[in-house]
Amino acid sequence: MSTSNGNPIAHPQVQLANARQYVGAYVVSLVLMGTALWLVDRHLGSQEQLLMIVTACAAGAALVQAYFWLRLDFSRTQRWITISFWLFVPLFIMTVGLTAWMFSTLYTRTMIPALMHPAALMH
Amino acid sequence: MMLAMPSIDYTVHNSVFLVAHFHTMLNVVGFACLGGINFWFPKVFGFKLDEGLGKRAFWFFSAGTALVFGCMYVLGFMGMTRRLDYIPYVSWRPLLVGEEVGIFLFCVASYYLFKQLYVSVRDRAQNRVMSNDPWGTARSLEWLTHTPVPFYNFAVRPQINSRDEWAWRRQHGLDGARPDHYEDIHLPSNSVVPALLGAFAFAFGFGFVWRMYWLVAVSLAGMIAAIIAKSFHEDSGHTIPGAMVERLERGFRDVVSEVAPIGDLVGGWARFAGPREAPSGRVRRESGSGARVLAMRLVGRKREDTR
Amino acid sequence: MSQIADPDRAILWDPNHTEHDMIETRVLGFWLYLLSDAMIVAALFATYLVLDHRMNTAGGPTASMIVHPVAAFGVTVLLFSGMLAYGLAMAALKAGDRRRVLVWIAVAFILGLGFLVVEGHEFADLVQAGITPERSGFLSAFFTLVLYHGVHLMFGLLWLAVMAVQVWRQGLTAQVVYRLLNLKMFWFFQGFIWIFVFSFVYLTGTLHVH
Repeated sequence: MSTSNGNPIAHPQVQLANARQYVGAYVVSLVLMGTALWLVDRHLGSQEQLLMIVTACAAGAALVQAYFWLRLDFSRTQRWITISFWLFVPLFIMTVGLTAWMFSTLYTRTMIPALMHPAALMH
Repeated sequence: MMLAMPSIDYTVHNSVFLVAHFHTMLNVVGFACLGGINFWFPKVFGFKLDEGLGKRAFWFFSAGTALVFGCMYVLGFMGMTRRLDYIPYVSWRPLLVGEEVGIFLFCVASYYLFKQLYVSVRDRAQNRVMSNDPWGTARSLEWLTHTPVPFYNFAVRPQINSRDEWAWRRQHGLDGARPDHYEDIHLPSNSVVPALLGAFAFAFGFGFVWRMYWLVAVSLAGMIAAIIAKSFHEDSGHTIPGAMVERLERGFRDVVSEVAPIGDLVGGWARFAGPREAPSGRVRRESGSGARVLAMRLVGRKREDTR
Repeated sequence: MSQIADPDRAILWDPNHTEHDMIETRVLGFWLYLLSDAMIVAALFATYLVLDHRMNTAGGPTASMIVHPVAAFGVTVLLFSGMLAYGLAMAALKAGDRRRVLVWIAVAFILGLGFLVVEGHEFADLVQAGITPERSGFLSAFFTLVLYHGVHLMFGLLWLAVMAVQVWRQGLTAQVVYRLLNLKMFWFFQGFIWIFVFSFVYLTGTLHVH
């Protein structure tokens, strides 16, 4: 509740803002998303290739936004924010990745009989 | 840990061994709670719980635990499954009777726990705590400030020289050390908003469970409105001037040495609950007056001296 | 760990302890909250990827039948523009220009509202076609994931409106500034999450992976 911080505008958190980098990150992330859209919409590639490309574009856009919008760098101001983020990322990937992997193998191991059922294959 | 081993887990699945196991784990938590209550009760209320009754409760509780769960583990190994509505084997009977006796011991333990609380509150004058550290053997930092704890916790932030700071100070004869001067203490103001949020959140959950969607809408709107209203309430807390802190501290020590600080349970709470929130807009100007009122209340009959 | 402190010369009190930087502690605290919030998103993504399978459609539509990647790119542009507008508000804050902060917050609000209106229309069409969350496990996961993001944006809009009033009435005080910084992280984070929603719900949904 301290108000003795002096001028809040001079705070390093405020001084992180950079309009040019914000615009740059905006353009790059939209171009990446647009590229992924164009390739998927035209079906330019096999399913596996497209999945890889979409993943790469998403990762690229995420990194660009994380670095230039959320300013996750190792400067003195942002150090702990960045470290907590990079500790969080593996948790996120493991939560999503391990669950999806576990269930996809589960489906192939246990649901083949059900998939063989014609009603299930109609859709 | 034990039941995390699949081979054991499969073997004891659905048996009363499993029931005994996880209830023993809960029981350990119960023991820790009872220990914690006895240990920190004086820190919060200013008087100790009756030791003899506490010991009696402990032994009955322990005996009950041994009897109930000892029998239950063995029954599990004998193949008894849980949630039976009949007893298929006569050979289980003695152990089941043993469990019943254990339950009876638990009841006796509960009786002594309630009696301990009742007797301790009744005889609080005798059990009153006269120093920071009623145990004389406490180690950690909370015993370094007054018992019970004043609303500002520490008058001056202690410098830590050892992991068990209080034990270290006692060992080196520094437990009577007082700061030579007092700085202003800045405290946040009390606010009704968190309690309000809790009430609205309860209504929110209740509404969803019973599908009373009007209640959901009202309590959600209430939560949002309370948070927004709080954000508009520019309250930077209040400051207790260093001179006031010093007077409070001195009064505190005099009172401790002459008469007990705690008249009664409720009065004790009211005394240390801290000043009420000042009306908005007047916080800064009124800073100190809340503390002055508190000082009067705290020092009580020594009013003339502190003024 | 044994501590060697000389009891005769040890300092016992620390009256002049420096105050914590209020803005920094609150920004970090809110950031940690956002990361925990993102773990809920992780759980929702995991659920979606598990249920995005022919076995879980219960005879109802699959992802490829309900997602429109081109339309979704349209709302992506709206959303990212809203993020950029708030970024420019932050640049105005850096310059201490209160009026420009207000203007960019208003632009961000309008763009975010546009996103929600378009998404609302999309969902209204689905519901009218009988495609509701209770239709199948897959649709439950789909609606929950996308609406979770949508509800966050809704609260973001509310927050933007509140901050606009506070900037206008109270000016750029420390209290207002730390809230603007927290809102910046909240608002940008919704764009960050949307990258994955767009990629792994709207784009790969058309691929018939399963």
